[in-house]
Amino acid sequence: MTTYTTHADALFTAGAPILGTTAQEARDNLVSVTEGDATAPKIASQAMIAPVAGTTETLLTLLGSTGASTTQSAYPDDFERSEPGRSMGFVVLVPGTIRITFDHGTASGTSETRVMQDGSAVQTWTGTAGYTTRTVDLTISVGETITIQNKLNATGPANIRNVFIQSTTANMAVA
Amino acid sequence: MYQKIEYVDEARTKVRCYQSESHVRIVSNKDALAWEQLHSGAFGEIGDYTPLPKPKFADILASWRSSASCDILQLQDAAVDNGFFDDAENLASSGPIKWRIRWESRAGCFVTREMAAPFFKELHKRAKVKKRFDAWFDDLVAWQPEKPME
Repeated sequence: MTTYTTHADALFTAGAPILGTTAQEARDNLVSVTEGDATAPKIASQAMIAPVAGTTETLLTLLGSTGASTTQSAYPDDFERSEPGRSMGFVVLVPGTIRITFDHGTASGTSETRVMQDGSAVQTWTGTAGYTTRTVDLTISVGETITIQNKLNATGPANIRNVFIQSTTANMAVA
Repeated sequence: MYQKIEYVDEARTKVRCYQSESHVRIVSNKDALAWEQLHSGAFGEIGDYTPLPKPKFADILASWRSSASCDILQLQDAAVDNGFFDDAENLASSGPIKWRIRWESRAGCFVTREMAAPFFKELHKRAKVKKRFDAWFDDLVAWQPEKPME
């Protein structure tokens, strides 16, 4: 691994010559950053390509076309991310905007599906018999937990499928 | 451009922009440029935050009671254990009675309490006489899904 070299400001005094070794170290410093040398500055997540809400790239698929369902009539914990059909989610790694799309509805009766951002509902829809496609474009910040939660109002079960997180740029904004 | 715009929360940190009934854009105050655009009036006045009406627990419970199901054998057993059908043997062997109880033949059959079957009609009738109401039925057997908590 290429070692990172810290340069004193005095090396770059106006009019002073830059030594070949200093220039070489400056070149190698770029390499050491990309290699993650222990003493090199780390790349901030904000420096990565920001996601932009759109449909070009699917960053994450939480549920496919088969989907899942729930007969529960109450939402689980706001931050629950691993109950397919009832509560699915992800954590934001890079700030920007994303598009969340899903189909929801019931076999019969009504359901309710909401999008939670760090524990607060930003959108809630009522599902009816069959499937309806919903879309939320969302401004996201690093570290936020986003969940898509589904519950049954009456009869049921409450179904959800094709839960996608999308962007116009391919990146690793969410996980 | 938007059908409607409104604040998402009471603290006014987010705005919900309806592109259609099924497509919304949520703009946070952390997105300075979009936030400024929305507040410039270019998209119209931003509506006040309107909290979702919280469903009443009684409605949730009524909904659950209408859809929860259980194994009918468990229900029949529980009814007998609670003294509801002390005359079950006589009734089962009396041919003309429509709600004749066929315990074994119903194995694996899941039912809701709203079923109009003769057995349920009789069970409800007897429960009424014994002053056993909905809350008592809630705890009688293992309903699926579980009873919602307030």
